[in-house]
Amino acid sequence: MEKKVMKKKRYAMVIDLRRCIGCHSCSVACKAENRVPLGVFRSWVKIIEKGRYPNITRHFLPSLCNQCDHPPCVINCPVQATWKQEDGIVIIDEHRCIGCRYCLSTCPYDARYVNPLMPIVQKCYFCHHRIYKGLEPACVEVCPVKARIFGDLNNPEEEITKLLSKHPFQVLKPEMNTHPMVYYIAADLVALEARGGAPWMRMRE
Amino acid sequence: MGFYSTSVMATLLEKREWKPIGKIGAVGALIILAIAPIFLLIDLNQPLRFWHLFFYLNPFSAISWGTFFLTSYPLIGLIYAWHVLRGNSRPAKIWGLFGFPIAISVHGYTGFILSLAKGRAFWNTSLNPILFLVSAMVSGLALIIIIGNLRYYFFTKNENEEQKATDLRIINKLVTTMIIFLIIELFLMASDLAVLANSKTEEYMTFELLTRGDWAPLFLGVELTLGGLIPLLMLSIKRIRLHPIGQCLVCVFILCGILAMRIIIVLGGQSVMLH
Repeated sequence: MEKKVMKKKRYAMVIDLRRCIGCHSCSVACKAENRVPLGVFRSWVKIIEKGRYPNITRHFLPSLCNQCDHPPCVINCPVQATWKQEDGIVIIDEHRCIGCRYCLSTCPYDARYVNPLMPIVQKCYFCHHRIYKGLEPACVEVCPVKARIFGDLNNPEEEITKLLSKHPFQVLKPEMNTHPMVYYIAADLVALEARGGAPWMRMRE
Repeated sequence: MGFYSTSVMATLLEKREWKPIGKIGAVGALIILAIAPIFLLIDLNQPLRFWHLFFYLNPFSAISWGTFFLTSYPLIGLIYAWHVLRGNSRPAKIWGLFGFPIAISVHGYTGFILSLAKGRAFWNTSLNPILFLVSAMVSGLALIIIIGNLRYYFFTKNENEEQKATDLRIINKLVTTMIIFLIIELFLMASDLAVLANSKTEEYMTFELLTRGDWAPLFLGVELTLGGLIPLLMLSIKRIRLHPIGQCLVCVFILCGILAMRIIIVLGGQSVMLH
Protein backbone atom coordinates (compact mmCIF):
# COMPACT_ATOMS: atom_id res chain seq x y z
CA MET A 1 0.00 0.00 0.00
CA GLU A 2 2.79 2.43 0.88
CA LYS A 3 4.71 1.72 -2.36
CA LYS A 4 1.57 2.46 -4.40
CA VAL A 5 1.16 5.86 -2.72
CA MET A 6 4.83 6.71 -3.34
CA LYS A 7 4.62 5.86 -7.08
CA LYS A 8 1.62 8.11 -7.60
CA LYS A 9 2.88 11.55 -8.46
CA ARG A 10 1.52 14.87 -7.25
CA TYR A 11 3.05 17.65 -9.31
CA ALA A 12 3.33 21.14 -7.90
CA MET A 13 5.40 24.28 -8.35
CA VAL A 14 7.09 26.65 -5.94
CA ILE A 15 7.95 30.18 -7.03
CA ASP A 16 10.65 31.69 -4.84
CA LEU A 17 10.09 35.43 -5.01
CA ARG A 18 13.29 36.16 -3.15
CA ARG A 19 15.03 35.19 -6.40
CA CYS A 20 12.60 36.41 -9.06
CA ILE A 21 13.89 39.43 -11.03
CA GLY A 22 10.82 39.95 -13.20
CA CYS A 23 12.68 39.27 -16.47
CA HIS A 24 9.61 37.58 -18.08
CA SER A 25 11.77 34.75 -19.49
CA CYS A 26 9.15 32.32 -18.19
CA SER A 27 6.34 34.10 -20.06
CA VAL A 28 8.33 34.12 -23.30
CA ALA A 29 9.42 30.49 -22.97
CA CYS A 30 5.84 29.42 -22.33
CA LYS A 31 4.62 31.31 -25.40
CA ALA A 32 7.29 29.71 -27.57
CA GLU A 33 6.93 26.17 -26.18
CA ASN A 34 3.14 26.04 -26.35
CA ARG A 35 2.57 28.36 -29.34
CA VAL A 36 0.33 30.62 -27.32
CA PRO A 37 -1.21 33.27 -29.63
CA LEU A 38 -0.81 37.01 -29.20
CA GLY A 39 -2.97 38.66 -26.59
CA VAL A 40 -3.40 35.64 -24.33
CA PHE A 41 -1.10 34.05 -21.76
CA ARG A 42 -0.63 30.77 -19.97
CA SER A 43 2.00 32.28 -17.69
CA TRP A 44 2.50 35.95 -16.96
CA VAL A 45 4.33 38.15 -14.45
CA LYS A 46 2.51 40.77 -12.44
CA ILE A 47 4.66 43.73 -11.41
CA ILE A 48 3.73 46.27 -8.77
CA GLU A 49 5.60 49.22 -7.37
CA LYS A 50 5.29 50.26 -3.77
CA GLY A 51 6.29 53.39 -1.94
CA ARG A 52 7.54 56.80 -2.98
CA TYR A 53 11.02 57.78 -4.16
CA PRO A 54 13.57 57.17 -2.66
CA ASN A 55 11.82 54.44 -0.65
CA ILE A 56 10.49 52.44 -3.54
CA THR A 57 10.44 48.74 -4.36
CA ARG A 58 9.19 46.51 -7.14
CA HIS A 59 7.52 43.20 -6.48
CA PHE A 60 6.89 40.43 -8.98
CA LEU A 61 4.28 37.73 -9.01
CA PRO A 62 4.65 35.12 -11.77
CA SER A 63 1.22 33.57 -12.27
CA LEU A 64 -0.14 30.54 -14.08
CA CYS A 65 -2.82 27.91 -13.66
CA ASN A 66 -2.66 26.71 -10.09
CA GLN A 67 -3.70 23.12 -10.96
CA CYS A 68 -5.99 23.27 -7.95
CA ASP A 69 -6.78 20.22 -5.88
CA HIS A 70 -10.45 21.31 -5.76
CA PRO A 71 -10.72 22.87 -9.20
CA PRO A 72 -14.00 24.80 -9.67
CA CYS A 73 -13.47 24.66 -13.45
CA VAL A 74 -13.63 20.85 -13.40
CA ILE A 75 -16.74 20.81 -11.19
CA ASN A 76 -18.61 23.25 -13.43
CA CYS A 77 -17.70 22.10 -16.95
CA PRO A 78 -21.01 20.96 -18.52
CA VAL A 79 -19.41 18.45 -20.90
CA GLN A 80 -16.61 17.13 -18.65
CA ALA A 81 -14.05 18.48 -21.10
CA THR A 82 -11.68 19.24 -18.25
CA TRP A 83 -10.54 16.99 -15.42
CA LYS A 84 -7.80 16.58 -12.88
CA GLN A 85 -5.39 13.74 -13.64
CA GLU A 86 -3.99 11.48 -10.94
CA ASP A 87 -0.68 13.28 -11.14
CA GLY A 88 -2.41 16.56 -10.24
CA ILE A 89 -2.39 18.30 -13.62
CA VAL A 90 -5.72 19.73 -14.75
CA ILE A 91 -6.24 18.88 -18.41
CA ILE A 92 -8.63 20.13 -21.12
CA ASP A 93 -9.87 17.88 -23.93
CA GLU A 94 -9.77 20.32 -26.84
CA HIS A 95 -12.02 18.11 -28.97
CA ARG A 96 -14.78 18.01 -26.38
CA CYS A 97 -14.77 21.66 -25.30
CA ILE A 98 -17.86 23.52 -26.56
CA GLY A 99 -16.42 26.95 -25.80
CA CYS A 100 -19.12 28.01 -23.35
CA ARG A 101 -16.42 29.80 -21.30
CA TYR A 102 -18.03 28.82 -18.01
CA CYS A 103 -14.66 27.58 -16.74
CA LEU A 104 -13.18 31.01 -17.52
CA SER A 105 -15.79 32.68 -15.35
CA THR A 106 -15.43 30.11 -12.61
CA CYS A 107 -11.64 30.29 -12.30
CA PRO A 108 -10.67 32.70 -9.49
CA TYR A 109 -7.18 33.14 -10.99
CA ASP A 110 -8.03 34.10 -14.59
CA ALA A 111 -5.79 31.22 -15.69
CA ARG A 112 -7.81 30.19 -18.72
CA TYR A 113 -8.25 31.92 -22.06
CA VAL A 114 -10.02 31.38 -25.36
CA ASN A 115 -7.54 30.71 -28.14
CA PRO A 116 -8.38 33.39 -30.75
CA LEU A 117 -7.16 31.16 -33.59
CA MET A 118 -9.08 28.00 -32.70
CA PRO A 119 -11.98 29.01 -30.44
CA ILE A 120 -11.57 26.61 -27.55
CA VAL A 121 -10.41 27.16 -24.00
CA GLN A 122 -6.78 26.54 -23.14
CA LYS A 123 -4.49 26.97 -20.13
CA CYS A 124 -1.18 25.94 -18.61
CA TYR A 125 -0.66 22.16 -18.32
CA PHE A 126 2.69 22.31 -16.56
CA CYS A 127 4.11 21.39 -20.03
CA HIS A 128 2.98 17.81 -19.47
CA HIS A 129 4.39 16.82 -22.89
CA ARG A 130 7.83 17.69 -21.50
CA ILE A 131 7.26 16.18 -18.03
CA TYR A 132 6.36 12.79 -19.48
CA LYS A 133 9.73 12.82 -21.28
CA GLY A 134 11.56 13.54 -18.05
CA LEU A 135 12.05 17.25 -18.74
CA GLU A 136 10.91 20.22 -16.69
CA PRO A 137 8.26 22.72 -17.77
CA ALA A 138 9.61 25.38 -20.14
CA CYS A 139 9.19 28.20 -17.63
CA VAL A 140 11.13 26.27 -14.98
CA GLU A 141 13.98 25.34 -17.31
CA VAL A 142 14.44 28.84 -18.71
CA CYS A 143 14.40 30.77 -15.42
CA PRO A 144 17.88 32.33 -15.10
CA VAL A 145 17.74 32.56 -11.31
CA LYS A 146 16.01 29.24 -10.60
CA ALA A 147 13.08 30.99 -9.01
CA ARG A 148 10.68 28.29 -10.23
CA ILE A 149 10.99 24.86 -8.71
CA PHE A 150 8.86 22.03 -10.05
CA GLY A 151 8.49 18.54 -8.71
CA ASP A 152 6.54 15.75 -7.11
CA LEU A 153 5.17 16.54 -3.65
CA ASN A 154 4.86 12.82 -2.91
CA ASN A 155 8.64 12.43 -3.12
CA PRO A 156 10.32 13.67 0.10
CA GLU A 157 13.70 13.81 -1.68
CA GLU A 158 12.55 16.41 -4.21
CA GLU A 159 13.71 20.00 -3.82
CA ILE A 160 10.12 21.26 -3.86
CA THR A 161 9.14 19.13 -0.88
CA LYS A 162 12.15 20.28 1.10
CA LEU A 163 11.51 23.92 0.29
CA LEU A 164 7.88 23.75 1.39
CA SER A 165 8.78 22.01 4.62
CA LYS A 166 11.45 24.59 5.51
CA HIS A 167 9.89 27.91 4.49
CA PRO A 168 6.61 29.71 5.11
CA PHE A 169 4.69 29.90 1.87
CA GLN A 170 1.60 31.56 0.48
CA VAL A 171 -0.97 30.64 -2.16
CA LEU A 172 -3.29 32.82 -4.18
CA LYS A 173 -6.74 33.33 -2.64
CA PRO A 174 -6.70 30.56 -0.01
CA GLU A 175 -10.23 31.59 1.04
CA MET A 176 -11.54 30.20 -2.27
CA ASN A 177 -11.00 26.64 -0.98
CA THR A 178 -9.45 25.62 -4.30
CA HIS A 179 -6.24 24.23 -2.71
CA PRO A 180 -3.82 25.58 -5.33
CA MET A 181 -0.71 23.58 -6.16
CA VAL A 182 1.39 26.66 -6.98
CA TYR A 183 3.13 27.99 -3.88
CA TYR A 184 4.93 31.28 -3.34
CA ILE A 185 7.78 32.01 -0.99
CA ALA A 186 8.08 35.64 0.17
CA ALA A 187 5.10 36.91 -1.80
CA ASP A 188 4.15 40.51 -1.12
CA LEU A 189 0.64 41.04 0.21
CA VAL A 190 -0.01 43.93 -2.15
CA ALA A 191 1.06 41.83 -5.14
CA LEU A 192 -1.21 38.99 -4.03
CA GLU A 193 -4.24 41.28 -3.92
CA ALA A 194 -6.34 41.78 -7.05
CA ARG A 195 -5.72 44.96 -9.00
CA GLY A 196 -2.29 45.49 -7.50
CA GLY A 197 -3.35 46.43 -4.05
CA ALA A 198 -6.19 46.82 -1.64
CA PRO A 199 -7.70 50.32 -1.40
CA TRP A 200 -6.52 50.58 2.21
CA MET A 201 -2.92 50.06 1.05
CA ARG A 202 -3.16 52.79 -1.58
CA MET A 203 -4.50 55.23 0.99
CA ARG A 204 -1.45 54.70 3.17
CA GLU A 205 0.90 55.38 0.27
CA MET B 1 -41.54 32.80 -16.27
CA GLY B 2 -43.94 35.69 -15.79
CA PHE B 3 -45.79 34.77 -18.96
CA TYR B 4 -46.01 31.08 -18.10
CA SER B 5 -46.87 31.39 -14.41
CA THR B 6 -49.55 34.05 -15.05
CA SER B 7 -51.02 31.85 -17.74
CA VAL B 8 -51.03 28.79 -15.43
CA MET B 9 -52.66 30.80 -12.64
CA ALA B 10 -55.29 32.03 -15.08
CA THR B 11 -55.93 28.44 -16.23
CA LEU B 12 -56.19 27.14 -12.67
CA LEU B 13 -58.68 29.87 -11.71
CA GLU B 14 -60.98 28.54 -14.45
CA LYS B 15 -62.72 31.88 -14.73
CA ARG B 16 -63.84 32.96 -18.16
CA GLU B 17 -62.53 36.51 -17.77
CA TRP B 18 -58.98 35.22 -17.19
CA LYS B 19 -58.89 33.17 -20.39
CA PRO B 20 -57.48 35.93 -22.63
CA ILE B 21 -54.62 36.44 -20.17
CA GLY B 22 -54.07 32.69 -20.06
CA LYS B 23 -53.76 32.56 -23.85
CA ILE B 24 -51.47 35.60 -24.04
CA GLY B 25 -49.17 34.06 -21.41
CA ALA B 26 -49.06 30.63 -23.04
CA VAL B 27 -48.24 31.97 -26.51
CA GLY B 28 -45.84 34.62 -25.20
CA ALA B 29 -43.85 32.04 -23.23
CA LEU B 30 -43.55 29.85 -26.34
CA ILE B 31 -42.31 32.69 -28.53
CA ILE B 32 -39.62 33.66 -26.04
CA LEU B 33 -38.60 30.03 -25.51
CA ALA B 34 -38.16 29.57 -29.23
CA ILE B 35 -35.75 32.51 -29.40
CA ALA B 36 -33.71 32.00 -26.21
CA PRO B 37 -31.87 28.75 -27.11
CA ILE B 38 -30.78 30.28 -30.44
CA PHE B 39 -28.89 32.99 -28.57
CA LEU B 40 -27.29 30.38 -26.33
CA LEU B 41 -26.11 28.39 -29.35
CA ILE B 42 -24.69 31.48 -31.05
CA ASP B 43 -22.77 32.35 -27.88
CA LEU B 44 -20.87 29.04 -27.89
CA ASN B 45 -17.41 29.21 -29.41
CA GLN B 46 -18.08 25.76 -30.89
CA PRO B 47 -21.83 25.77 -31.64
CA LEU B 48 -21.69 22.60 -33.74
CA ARG B 49 -20.59 20.71 -30.64
CA PHE B 50 -23.81 21.58 -28.78
CA TRP B 51 -24.78 17.88 -28.80
CA HIS B 52 -21.91 17.25 -26.35
CA LEU B 53 -24.20 18.76 -23.73
CA PHE B 54 -26.52 15.76 -24.02
CA PHE B 55 -23.92 13.00 -24.25
CA TYR B 56 -21.14 14.20 -21.92
CA LEU B 57 -23.29 15.77 -19.24
CA ASN B 58 -21.88 16.64 -15.84
CA PRO B 59 -24.44 16.24 -13.02
CA PHE B 60 -22.52 18.79 -10.94
CA SER B 61 -22.73 21.51 -13.57
CA ALA B 62 -25.67 23.92 -13.61
CA ILE B 63 -25.37 24.24 -17.39
CA SER B 64 -25.90 20.47 -17.78
CA TRP B 65 -29.12 20.70 -15.78
CA GLY B 66 -30.15 23.77 -17.74
CA THR B 67 -29.74 21.86 -21.01
CA PHE B 68 -32.48 19.44 -19.99
CA PHE B 69 -34.74 22.10 -18.52
CA LEU B 70 -34.44 24.22 -21.66
CA THR B 71 -35.20 21.22 -23.85
CA SER B 72 -38.23 19.99 -21.91
CA TYR B 73 -39.75 23.40 -21.08
CA PRO B 74 -40.64 24.36 -24.68
CA LEU B 75 -42.10 20.89 -25.35
CA ILE B 76 -44.30 21.03 -22.27
CA GLY B 77 -45.11 24.67 -23.02
CA LEU B 78 -46.18 23.73 -26.53
CA ILE B 79 -48.53 21.01 -25.30
CA TYR B 80 -49.88 23.33 -22.59
CA ALA B 81 -50.41 26.20 -25.07
CA TRP B 82 -52.17 23.85 -27.49
CA HIS B 83 -54.64 22.77 -24.80
CA VAL B 84 -55.18 26.36 -23.63
CA LEU B 85 -55.90 27.59 -27.14
CA ARG B 86 -58.19 24.61 -27.81
CA GLY B 87 -60.08 25.30 -24.56
CA ASN B 88 -59.29 21.85 -23.08
CA SER B 89 -59.46 22.90 -19.46
CA ARG B 90 -58.42 19.73 -17.61
CA PRO B 91 -55.42 18.76 -19.80
CA ALA B 92 -54.32 22.43 -19.77
CA LYS B 93 -54.34 22.42 -15.94
CA ILE B 94 -52.39 19.15 -15.78
CA TRP B 95 -49.73 20.23 -18.27
CA GLY B 96 -49.58 23.70 -16.76
CA LEU B 97 -48.91 22.34 -13.28
CA PHE B 98 -46.47 19.76 -14.65
CA GLY B 99 -44.52 22.47 -16.44
CA PHE B 100 -44.55 24.90 -13.52
CA PRO B 101 -41.54 23.47 -11.61
CA ILE B 102 -39.67 23.22 -14.90
CA ALA B 103 -40.48 26.87 -15.61
CA ILE B 104 -39.06 27.82 -12.21
CA SER B 105 -36.00 25.65 -12.90
CA VAL B 106 -35.38 27.26 -16.30
CA HIS B 107 -35.35 30.73 -14.82
CA GLY B 108 -33.63 29.72 -11.63
CA TYR B 109 -30.83 27.72 -13.22
CA THR B 110 -29.30 30.80 -14.83
CA GLY B 111 -29.02 32.31 -11.37
CA PHE B 112 -27.36 29.08 -10.20
CA ILE B 113 -24.87 29.20 -13.08
CA LEU B 114 -23.74 32.57 -11.80
CA SER B 115 -23.87 31.66 -8.12
CA LEU B 116 -21.67 28.61 -8.61
CA ALA B 117 -18.95 30.58 -10.43
CA LYS B 118 -16.85 31.19 -7.36
CA GLY B 119 -14.26 33.20 -9.26
CA ARG B 120 -16.57 36.21 -9.65
CA ALA B 121 -17.40 38.08 -6.45
CA PHE B 122 -20.56 39.67 -7.85
CA TRP B 123 -21.90 36.32 -8.97
CA ASN B 124 -20.96 34.14 -6.02
CA THR B 125 -24.00 34.89 -3.87
CA SER B 126 -26.97 32.73 -2.91
CA LEU B 127 -29.26 35.65 -3.84
CA ASN B 128 -28.73 35.23 -7.57
CA PRO B 129 -31.17 32.36 -8.23
CA ILE B 130 -34.03 34.06 -6.41
CA LEU B 131 -33.13 37.45 -7.92
CA PHE B 132 -33.32 35.99 -11.42
CA LEU B 133 -36.64 34.31 -10.65
CA VAL B 134 -38.18 37.45 -9.23
CA SER B 135 -36.91 39.64 -12.07
CA ALA B 136 -38.26 37.09 -14.57
CA MET B 137 -41.67 37.40 -12.87
CA VAL B 138 -41.52 41.20 -12.99
CA SER B 139 -40.50 41.35 -16.65
CA GLY B 140 -43.07 38.73 -17.65
CA LEU B 141 -45.84 40.59 -15.85
CA ALA B 142 -44.74 43.88 -17.42
CA LEU B 143 -44.95 42.35 -20.90
CA ILE B 144 -48.36 40.80 -20.20
CA ILE B 145 -49.66 44.16 -18.97
CA ILE B 146 -48.45 45.89 -22.15
CA ILE B 147 -49.92 43.19 -24.40
CA GLY B 148 -53.13 43.11 -22.31
CA ASN B 149 -53.60 46.86 -22.73
CA LEU B 150 -52.90 46.66 -26.47
CA ARG B 151 -55.44 43.84 -26.77
CA TYR B 152 -57.99 45.82 -24.75
CA TYR B 153 -57.75 48.91 -26.95
CA PHE B 154 -57.40 47.28 -30.37
CA PHE B 155 -58.97 43.82 -30.25
CA THR B 156 -62.01 44.00 -27.95
CA LYS B 157 -64.42 46.01 -30.08
CA ASN B 158 -66.90 43.11 -30.03
CA GLU B 159 -66.94 42.82 -26.24
CA ASN B 160 -69.69 44.41 -24.15
CA GLU B 161 -69.03 46.98 -21.42
CA GLU B 162 -69.13 44.42 -18.62
CA GLN B 163 -66.48 42.26 -20.29
CA LYS B 164 -64.29 45.32 -20.95
CA ALA B 165 -64.58 46.36 -17.30
CA THR B 166 -63.54 42.84 -16.26
CA ASP B 167 -60.54 42.96 -18.59
CA LEU B 168 -59.44 46.26 -17.03
CA ARG B 169 -59.90 44.83 -13.54
CA ILE B 170 -57.65 41.87 -14.39
CA ILE B 171 -54.97 44.14 -15.82
CA ASN B 172 -55.08 46.23 -12.63
CA LYS B 173 -54.67 43.08 -10.52
CA LEU B 174 -51.62 42.15 -12.60
CA VAL B 175 -50.21 45.64 -11.97
CA THR B 176 -50.64 45.12 -8.22
CA THR B 177 -48.88 41.75 -8.44
CA MET B 178 -46.07 43.35 -10.44
CA ILE B 179 -45.62 46.04 -7.75
CA ILE B 180 -45.22 43.36 -5.08
CA PHE B 181 -42.58 41.49 -7.09
CA LEU B 182 -40.81 44.76 -7.93
CA ILE B 183 -40.54 45.62 -4.24
CA ILE B 184 -39.13 42.14 -3.56
CA GLU B 185 -36.62 42.61 -6.38
CA LEU B 186 -35.49 46.00 -5.04
CA PHE B 187 -35.12 44.50 -1.58
CA LEU B 188 -32.93 41.70 -2.94
CA MET B 189 -30.77 44.23 -4.81
CA ALA B 190 -30.41 46.34 -1.67
CA SER B 191 -29.41 43.26 0.35
CA ASP B 192 -26.83 42.31 -2.27
CA LEU B 193 -25.36 45.83 -2.28
CA ALA B 194 -25.23 46.00 1.51
CA VAL B 195 -23.33 42.69 1.74
CA LEU B 196 -20.97 43.64 -1.11
CA ALA B 197 -20.08 46.86 0.68
CA ASN B 198 -19.19 44.98 3.85
CA SER B 199 -17.46 41.93 2.45
CA LYS B 200 -14.01 41.00 1.16
CA THR B 201 -11.76 42.98 -1.22
CA GLU B 202 -13.15 41.83 -4.55
CA GLU B 203 -16.72 42.19 -3.31
CA TYR B 204 -15.96 45.76 -2.24
CA MET B 205 -14.32 46.45 -5.62
CA THR B 206 -17.57 45.30 -7.22
CA PHE B 207 -19.54 47.64 -4.96
CA GLU B 208 -17.27 50.54 -5.98
CA LEU B 209 -17.67 49.63 -9.65
CA LEU B 210 -21.46 49.74 -9.34
CA THR B 211 -21.76 52.89 -7.26
CA ARG B 212 -18.78 54.98 -8.34
CA GLY B 213 -17.14 53.23 -11.28
CA ASP B 214 -17.82 52.53 -14.95
CA TRP B 215 -21.10 50.75 -14.31
CA ALA B 216 -22.53 53.40 -11.98
CA PRO B 217 -24.58 55.29 -14.61
CA LEU B 218 -26.24 52.09 -15.83
CA PHE B 219 -26.77 50.69 -12.36
CA LEU B 220 -27.86 53.80 -10.48
CA GLY B 221 -29.50 55.59 -13.42
CA VAL B 222 -31.23 52.82 -15.34
CA GLU B 223 -31.56 49.75 -13.12
CA LEU B 224 -32.28 51.41 -9.81
CA THR B 225 -33.89 54.73 -10.71
CA LEU B 226 -35.56 54.26 -14.09
CA GLY B 227 -36.36 50.58 -13.58
CA GLY B 228 -37.20 50.61 -9.89
CA LEU B 229 -37.80 53.84 -8.04
CA ILE B 230 -39.55 55.85 -10.77
CA PRO B 231 -42.02 53.02 -11.55
CA LEU B 232 -42.82 52.61 -7.85
CA LEU B 233 -43.33 56.34 -7.49
CA MET B 234 -45.56 56.48 -10.57
CA LEU B 235 -47.56 53.44 -9.51
CA SER B 236 -48.18 54.95 -6.09
CA ILE B 237 -50.25 57.66 -7.82
CA LYS B 238 -53.72 56.16 -8.40
CA ARG B 239 -54.41 58.06 -11.61
CA ILE B 240 -51.27 56.71 -13.24
CA ARG B 241 -51.69 53.22 -11.81
CA LEU B 242 -55.15 52.85 -13.31
CA HIS B 243 -54.45 54.64 -16.61
CA PRO B 244 -53.39 52.36 -19.51
CA ILE B 245 -50.77 54.76 -20.89
CA GLY B 246 -49.33 55.19 -17.41
CA GLN B 247 -49.26 51.42 -16.94
CA CYS B 248 -47.55 50.83 -20.30
CA LEU B 249 -44.98 53.56 -19.68
CA VAL B 250 -44.14 52.13 -16.26
CA CYS B 251 -43.82 48.65 -17.75
CA VAL B 252 -41.40 49.93 -20.41
CA PHE B 253 -39.30 51.56 -17.66
CA ILE B 254 -39.33 48.31 -15.71
CA LEU B 255 -38.26 46.29 -18.74
CA CYS B 256 -35.36 48.71 -19.34
CA GLY B 257 -34.36 48.33 -15.70
CA ILE B 258 -34.39 44.55 -15.85
CA LEU B 259 -32.41 44.49 -19.09
CA ALA B 260 -29.86 46.79 -17.42
CA MET B 261 -29.79 44.46 -14.39
CA ARG B 262 -28.96 41.44 -16.53
CA ILE B 263 -26.26 43.34 -18.44
CA ILE B 264 -24.70 44.63 -15.24
CA ILE B 265 -24.69 41.24 -13.53
CA VAL B 266 -23.27 39.35 -16.53
CA LEU B 267 -20.84 41.89 -18.00
CA GLY B 268 -20.17 43.97 -14.92
CA GLY B 269 -19.50 40.85 -12.89
CA GLN B 270 -16.71 39.93 -15.30
CA SER B 271 -15.10 43.35 -15.34
CA VAL B 272 -13.59 43.12 -11.87
CA MET B 273 -9.92 42.19 -12.24
CA LEU B 274 -8.95 38.92 -10.66
CA HIS B 275 -5.19 39.40 -10.44
